[in-house]
Amino acid sequence: MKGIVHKLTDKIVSCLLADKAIDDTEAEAYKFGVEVMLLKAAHISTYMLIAAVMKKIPEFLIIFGILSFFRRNTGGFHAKTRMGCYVFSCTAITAGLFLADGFRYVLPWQVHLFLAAGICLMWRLTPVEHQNRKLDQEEVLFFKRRQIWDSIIFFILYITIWAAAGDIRLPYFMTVGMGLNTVLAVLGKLGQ
Amino acid sequence: MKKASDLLAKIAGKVIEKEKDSACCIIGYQPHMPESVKQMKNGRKNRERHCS
Repeated sequence: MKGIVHKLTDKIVSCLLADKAIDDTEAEAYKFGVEVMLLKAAHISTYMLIAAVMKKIPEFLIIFGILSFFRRNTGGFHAKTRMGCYVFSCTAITAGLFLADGFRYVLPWQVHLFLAAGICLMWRLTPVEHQNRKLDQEEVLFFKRRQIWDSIIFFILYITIWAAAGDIRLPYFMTVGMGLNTVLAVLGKLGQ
Repeated sequence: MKKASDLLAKIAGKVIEKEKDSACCIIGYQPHMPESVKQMKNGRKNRERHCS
């Protein structure tokens, strides 16, 4: 997979340079950007397919939305290879969607307790540095601060939705998304 | 072809901006982030300040 991605990335960046859409000084940065773009496209389309096959697209949108919302600050586990990451992340999304059915078996206070514990652990770990994404002191403080603000927004949304909906289903899905993020953060920390 | 390249460059540019403001790639493999990605942001801001 690494070979295919690299070849495609190099080809696209060469075209961008040839068409003068970017200049030489930006080539290295755009190689990174194009690779991330291609990987994201492959991952998201697979996640959507998994969600469609499991008939859980609304659950996926909530769980994945919350996961993305927090993960941009927390960081966390990434597999060492592109294929490994692809398989792992598809497995994680599938597991999250299976967990989505759990709202029938939990009580509201259990969801709130799990949420509180998960958020505390997430705050403690944020941000988890990865060997390919070094963070300087300024960035560490920025992500910590933003995580706190994002958590406040999340809490307000959580309480509003729970009060308006009257049942625990949507808050439960939000908690699954947050929980997935925390688990990935723990795995990332253990892997350091 | 030029329009397609410009569009692709714009999308890749937006991806770079998002990655600079994230602790990691939210989805997918985390490729090595070159220093030029962080410098690109600062470079652009400096150029904008000089022009205004």
